[in-house]
Amino acid sequence: MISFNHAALALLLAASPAAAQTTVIKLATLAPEGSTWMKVLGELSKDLEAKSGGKLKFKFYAGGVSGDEKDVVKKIRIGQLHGAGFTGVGLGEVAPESRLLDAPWLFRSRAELEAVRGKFAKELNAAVEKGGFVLLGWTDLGSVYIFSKNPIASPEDMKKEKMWVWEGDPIAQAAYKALAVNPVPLSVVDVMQSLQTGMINGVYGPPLGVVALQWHTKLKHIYPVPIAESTGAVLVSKKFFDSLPEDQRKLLLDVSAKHLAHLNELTNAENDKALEALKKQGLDLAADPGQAVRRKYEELGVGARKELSGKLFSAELVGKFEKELAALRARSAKKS
Amino acid sequence: MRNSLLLAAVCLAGAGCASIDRYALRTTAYMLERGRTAALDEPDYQLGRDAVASQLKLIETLLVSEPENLSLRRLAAEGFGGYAFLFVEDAEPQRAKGLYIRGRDHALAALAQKSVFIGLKDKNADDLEKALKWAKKEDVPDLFWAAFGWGGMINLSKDDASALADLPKVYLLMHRVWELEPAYHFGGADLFFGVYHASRPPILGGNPAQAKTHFEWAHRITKGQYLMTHVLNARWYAVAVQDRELFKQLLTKVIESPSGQLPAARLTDEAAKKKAAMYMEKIDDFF
Repeated sequence: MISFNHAALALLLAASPAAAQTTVIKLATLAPEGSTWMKVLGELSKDLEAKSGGKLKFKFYAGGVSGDEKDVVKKIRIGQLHGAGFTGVGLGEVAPESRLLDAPWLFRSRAELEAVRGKFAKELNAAVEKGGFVLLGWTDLGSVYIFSKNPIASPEDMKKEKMWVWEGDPIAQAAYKALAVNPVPLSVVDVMQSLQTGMINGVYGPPLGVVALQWHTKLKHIYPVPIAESTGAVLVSKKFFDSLPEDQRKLLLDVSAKHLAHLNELTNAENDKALEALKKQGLDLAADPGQAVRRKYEELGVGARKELSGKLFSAELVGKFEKELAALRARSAKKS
Repeated sequence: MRNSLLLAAVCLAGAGCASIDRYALRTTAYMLERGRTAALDEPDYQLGRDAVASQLKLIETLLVSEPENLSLRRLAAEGFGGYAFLFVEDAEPQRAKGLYIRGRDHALAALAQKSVFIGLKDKNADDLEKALKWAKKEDVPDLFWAAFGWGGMINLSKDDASALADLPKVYLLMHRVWELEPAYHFGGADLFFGVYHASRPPILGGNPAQAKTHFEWAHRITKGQYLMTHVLNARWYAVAVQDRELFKQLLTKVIESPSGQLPAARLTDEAAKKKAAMYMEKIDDFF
């Protein structure tokens, strides 16, 4: 009887090696359950599980239950979590160099952003690895617009407004400095009330973020020239990544790249939809101020990047980005 | 028998036989209202669910002939919202969205019988807030079920920016309920705000401490006898603060408590037990 039990146990164990060896990647994000983000990440996990024969899958901590991004970085460092979907805040902690992607008035379009991101993949990956992480994919968070209570027609108009700046956001700080605007630094949590009391009357963010935070009820105008394209990333700790067998590492990178590219398409479409929804809620999107004004912002952007060089990113990388963009623009000018 | 004699008399008196229909309709409406109480006190989950479903279609049919009938409107608003929440959203979220919206629209139609509340849905937040100042206690059921249906739909549409953009309006509707009659529907406004504040991380505007307070208020209103209070507290607050013990404790209490401590909540209690068991099974997804 005893030997029969032993045999049965041995059979059971032999029959389920996959279950016994499943590696679960614990990943945190602020995106709430049910959002497009979580839907795509769910598909990514399923795909990964199927393609790895059940050996690799994700477990998600959605909706910010693991704390803010600074907490999440700490939890990853001590091995309590393995990775996260970060916004610029988390990226600033672990790979400040990559925040050049968020620099003010750098890209004229998402296409430019993608081209440059692809061209300098090696440099950007190195920045992420230097911080102890491995990049599974960049995530587009949307074009950052200025939203205000009063109409803004020109860069000069912004000086009259009480603009909010996220405490400890060096990028926005530099953008405001370039505009000669003196912003009010506040945590995100205090923005809604400060809009109500009139302590501030202008904010910035991607349309989807503004809708999610419900700031739109206190705002009336949208300025049509984005300050920046905001970029986030899905990262896993390098220590964890290196502990995986080589075939699983490759699989994780490939499957993630595929699904996160799809996520970017969906997020961009969703931000467009959010902008429309805001217009439907009664916010007024001002008319485009034209090429001359747009060029003026680009010049301000050069100054803002100089200001940030040596703090977040190196002047060398800034130079490379600017050179590539000039080449890209020259090529597209020739074509048209 | 007496009714049909009466009908015949009305007919003979020349008041017009068209009114027979109307009379029959009102009788049925009255029956349906009595049926509501019976359905809510139903101890059998499946029988309750099926009874509500068949009554809903009948109510809508009657409303076609008598769109101004306020009690029918209210039955429809509560019926669709409640049916979507209790019986549909966990298994078929897409279908639930449509039912929630039907509930909302019936409630909005009830409100629109007062001219100041016409077109509430399409007002911007400021104008909505102004209009809602005119609301009185008698409007509470309509405000509540409008917000309940709308909020339920948005909660299932977190991937839809245009739905999300309306959430501040739902907040305003429910806030008015909370001001006028916080005890309405088992402290439903407090339950709504408990979920509202717990369902987003603080960085995205959530506030777990406020959620906790609202769940405590809701608990006090029904002395903890309305089981859905504990289910929502566990699913949203306990998950938001990652308190696995509290989650287990609340849901175990629901599973072990008798249903119908409040007779008008017997069917909801049965649904709460089903939800509690389902969440317990999924505990590792939440923590």
